[in-house]
Amino acid sequence: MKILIYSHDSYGLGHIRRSLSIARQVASDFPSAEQLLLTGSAQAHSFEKPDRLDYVKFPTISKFSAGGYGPRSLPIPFESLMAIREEMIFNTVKHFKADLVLVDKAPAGIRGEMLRSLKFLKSEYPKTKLVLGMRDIEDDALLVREEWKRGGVYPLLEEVYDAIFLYGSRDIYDPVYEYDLSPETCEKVISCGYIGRDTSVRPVEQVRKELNMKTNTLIVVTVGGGGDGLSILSAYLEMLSLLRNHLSFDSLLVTGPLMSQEQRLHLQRYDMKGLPFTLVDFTPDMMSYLNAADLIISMGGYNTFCEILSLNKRAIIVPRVKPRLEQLIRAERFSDLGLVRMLHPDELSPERLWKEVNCEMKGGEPVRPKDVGVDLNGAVNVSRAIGQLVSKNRLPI
Amino acid sequence: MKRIMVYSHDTFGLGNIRRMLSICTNLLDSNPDLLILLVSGSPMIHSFRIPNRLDYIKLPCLRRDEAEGYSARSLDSDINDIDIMRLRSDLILTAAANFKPDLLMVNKKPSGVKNELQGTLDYLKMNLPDTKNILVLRNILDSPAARINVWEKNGYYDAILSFYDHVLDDGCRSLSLIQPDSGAISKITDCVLALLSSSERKLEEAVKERSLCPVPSLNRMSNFTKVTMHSVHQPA
Repeated sequence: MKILIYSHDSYGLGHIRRSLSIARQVASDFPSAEQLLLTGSAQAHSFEKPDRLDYVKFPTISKFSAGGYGPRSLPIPFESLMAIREEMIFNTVKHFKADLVLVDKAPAGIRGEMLRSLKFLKSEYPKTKLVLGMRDIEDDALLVREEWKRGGVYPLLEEVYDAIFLYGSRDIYDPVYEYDLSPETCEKVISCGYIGRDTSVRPVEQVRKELNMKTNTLIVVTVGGGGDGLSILSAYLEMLSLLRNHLSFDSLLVTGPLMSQEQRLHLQRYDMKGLPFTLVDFTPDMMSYLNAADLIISMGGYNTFCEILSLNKRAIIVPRVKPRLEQLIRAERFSDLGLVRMLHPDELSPERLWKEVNCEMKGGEPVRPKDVGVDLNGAVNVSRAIGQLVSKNRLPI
Repeated sequence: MKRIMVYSHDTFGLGNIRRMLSICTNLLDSNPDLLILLVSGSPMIHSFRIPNRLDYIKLPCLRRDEAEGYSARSLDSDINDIDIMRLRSDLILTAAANFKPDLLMVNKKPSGVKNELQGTLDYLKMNLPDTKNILVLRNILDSPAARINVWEKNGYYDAILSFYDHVLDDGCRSLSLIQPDSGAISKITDCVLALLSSSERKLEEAVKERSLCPVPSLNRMSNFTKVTMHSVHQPA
């Protein structure tokens, strides 16, 4: 069984991490699976890869905060760069002859770079299963509808894709309703649940000892990559300095690898002498620290949510609200389910943060995801669905 | 902006990719008007700092098995009918045809692993005849006799004669030297910049010190092959 995974990866680490979680599961479920990952990520190496998986990296593009894409480190005309990518994808598709192609997130690829390959497969290799992997939430539903109409996504879903894996749950957020999918498309949607994280972590005592804690309570503040996490970390540090003499907990703040040097320096200006807290840029073992926490404060990205829910931790989510509303919608839905507490970034202040922290610390046991219908076995379900789709080819019709 | 494409086949080990990246970094630092697209099969390419104005393409990896044959490193091509060599070859050609380099710099193997570069060299000769092709060699490979055999068997001499404008020696005289010395790197940079500016005078200056950087013109090819073979075993 040959599987080709396309992950465009312009910004952040989310897509490549999700794709590799799935690939690891597939590799362990199907010893005969050969997987090839097509990616624009310069970070593909940072993550552990399963056996029998190789990757092809094409030139990297960046997403600008104003919207739109451009070359990341090779300043040639964007059209030439996209031409290289499109043709590299096509070559790979043509030679690899996959049984199943899994396209992450962008149905047509960035700027339609997958279209030629998808059409080629549909006409020349009709047995190859074409699957779209869809995150639980994309953006504001009306915006998504408009974008998909403009980008010709609807006909792709109806006529080209064989299946749509939803890495979420229709009960929590239903793309069929929100994005107005046709009945034909709706039949292709397979709800796979959230891609939960491996919870094998270092013992809590060990992590806490390493942090040299002065109290018995730990709050971990993480802002993902860190590109836009300054306001949360600043508010938190101010909160600590306001509470200065009444701190009954330790804090670990993780800025993320993408925070600018300027912003890091800004954070160091706070007078935090003698306060029980640790500030780090990055840790490859984030799960162990999250697991050691009594409370997590974070943004609302898909992977962060999956980590928090897999560990079943109390959390205060301050979602990103621009340029996309994805995190806000996700935080609202999960806060409605009682799984997390949401604080809108417009309402973020040291005083308000303390109020929320205080409420959360007094709460009892956190709600269990499975009790409110949140399935975290996404990777297992995706792998099973891949097996079923591919085996259909091999049975007589 | 002048465009350079670099090919480094890279099966295992860090030596090749590290050497090529040192050369690339020096080129980019010496001239703000250069862009580099590096095409590599190295599974280790990520371990290095990637400079600005350079992006890379990673090909599916190969490993070198005992008989000097190459096969797919992670993917099992035999079972599943994946033609990794054709895929790699097409990916390289795609990069060259769309990037349209002013100069192609090839590491060690004139036609690439298992001739995977042949299509690209043919394409450039036909469609982009102004592209300069240069080959960068380490001066230590095997014993001279073995090397001449391998080169003849693989048609390397013919490939150099047909496709390459210049052959540069990266200055590594000893097996224990992983990095070329800074003198050799700056010679290579000088040669590349001279080639890109099509300045005969600069080129002559750049190659004056032949011991570091023999750049035979095509009509001195026969001379070059002997010179290089001999210098392999001359003490540095």
